[in-house]
Amino acid sequence: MAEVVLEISDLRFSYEDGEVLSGLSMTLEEGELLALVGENGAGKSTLMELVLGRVMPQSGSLRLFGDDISRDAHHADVAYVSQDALRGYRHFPTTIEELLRVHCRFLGVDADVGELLARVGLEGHQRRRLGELSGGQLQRVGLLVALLKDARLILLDEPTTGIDQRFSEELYRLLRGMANEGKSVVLVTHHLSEAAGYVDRALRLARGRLEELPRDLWQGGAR
Amino acid sequence: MLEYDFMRRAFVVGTILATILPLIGLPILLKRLSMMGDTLAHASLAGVAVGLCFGFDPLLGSVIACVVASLGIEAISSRLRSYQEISTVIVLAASIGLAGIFTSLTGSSNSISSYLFGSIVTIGDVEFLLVIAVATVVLVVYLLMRDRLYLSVFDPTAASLMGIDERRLNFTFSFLVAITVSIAAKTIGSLIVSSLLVIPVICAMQFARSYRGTLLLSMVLSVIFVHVGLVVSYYQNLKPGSVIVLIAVLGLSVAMFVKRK
Repeated sequence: MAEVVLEISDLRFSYEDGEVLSGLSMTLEEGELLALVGENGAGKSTLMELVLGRVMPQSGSLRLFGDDISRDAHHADVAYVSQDALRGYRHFPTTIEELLRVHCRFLGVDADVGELLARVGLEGHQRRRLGELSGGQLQRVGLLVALLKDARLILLDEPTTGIDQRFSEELYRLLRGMANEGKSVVLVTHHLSEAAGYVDRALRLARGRLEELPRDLWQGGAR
Repeated sequence: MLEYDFMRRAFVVGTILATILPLIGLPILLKRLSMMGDTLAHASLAGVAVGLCFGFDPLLGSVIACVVASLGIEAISSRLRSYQEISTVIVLAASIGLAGIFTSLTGSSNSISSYLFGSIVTIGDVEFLLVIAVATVVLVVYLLMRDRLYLSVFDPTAASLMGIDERRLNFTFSFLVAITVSIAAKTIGSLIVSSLLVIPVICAMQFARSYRGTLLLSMVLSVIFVHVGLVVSYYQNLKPGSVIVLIAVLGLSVAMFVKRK
C-alpha cells in the first residue's frame, strides 16, 4: 500500500475578510500526480501556503509525511515552484550557471551544469543572465532549481503559464516520470485539458472545499 | 598629500569601508530595502546624540542604536509581510525624533556635525582599530553565509524549504548592516553612507553579468569613488564624505549613459 504523503482533514482557514477554506479534506499518496483546479481566488494559493507551513490553519489537521504540520515543521522533502518567485528572478543579477552552481554546492549535489540544462531543453544557455530569458525559459529554470532538491513532494503553482505547448508537454512528461519514480506531485493549473493525459486525479477547489472531478470529465489519466 | 599620516590613514580606512559596503549593499538592493541604510544611518545619529547626552562613547551609542534599529526593522517587517518597506519608515521616523530630542539636550552641535558629514581625515587610533575589527567580522561572516544569503535573496520561500533558517539569517545580516553602517557613518557621514551602500552596486549592475561579478565590480568602483573623492577633497579643501558621494553619483550617471549607448 502506497504511503500517504499529505493528509488534510476538515481544514479551515480565514482571512480578515472571510473564510477561504471551510472544512477541506484530501489525501495524496506516494507516486501520485494530482491536478488542482479552481477559479481565481478560490484558495489554491492559500492551500499551498498552508502545506508549506507559511500560514497556520484556524482548525483541522494537516499531516505531511505522517507528521502534524507546525511552524517548526521541516520541509526539506518539499519543493515548490511559484509564479511570484519567477517574476522576481528576472531582476536577479546572475547567470544560469552561477545559479545552478550555488544551488548544487549548498545541496551537496554533484552534477554537470550542461547536463542539468539539457533536462529542461536549455542546452548552451549557461552564460545567459536570468534577465535575458523568456518567460517560458525562466519557468524551466525555476523548475530545474526546485527539482535539484530531489524532494519527495513537489508543488507547482501554474508552471505552464506563459510557456508554449511543446514545453508544457515536456514538463508534464517530466512530472509523470517523476511520479512513476515515486515522487508525489500537486499541479495547480488552469489548463487541465492539456495535462489530462498525465495526471492521476483532478480536484476542484470551490466554496472552500475540494471535490474530485469525474475521470470522464478530463479524459482519464495514463501512466 | 600622502606625506601626512592622517591622509594615509584616510585612504586605508576608505579602502576598507569601500570594500565591505557593497557586500552589504547588494543584498539590501536586491531585497528592495535600500531605505534600510538611510534608516540605520539616522539611527546611528540618534545613538550618537544619546551617547553625548549621557556621557558615554558616541560611537558605541551609534553601534547600539543601529543594532536595535535593525532588529526593530526585522521585527516589524516580519509582522507586516505585505508592507515590509513600512518597517524602515517607522524606525526612520523614530530615529529622527530621538536624534532631534537628544541633540537639543546635549547643547553641542559640533560632535553631531562630525557624524552628519563624517570625519575620515580625523580618525583616531581606537576608531581605526574598530574599523579593521568591524570589517574583519563583516568579511568573515559574509564568506560563511554567502551561499545562504544568495539563495535567500534569490527566493526566500525556496530557501526556507532548503532548510535555511530565514530568521537567523536575516538577524545575522541585519547585525552586519548595523555595525557596518554605524562605523561608516562616523567616517564618511551618516547622511552619505546609505548612498555609498547602493550607488556602486547599481553602477556595477549595468555591466556585470553574474552576482559575483557584480559584487567584485562594485567593490572596485566603490574604492575608486572613495579614492578620487579623497584626492579632490584634499586639494579643494572640501568635506571628503560629500565629495565621495558626489563622485559616486557622477560615476553612476556616466555608467547609465554608457549603458544606454
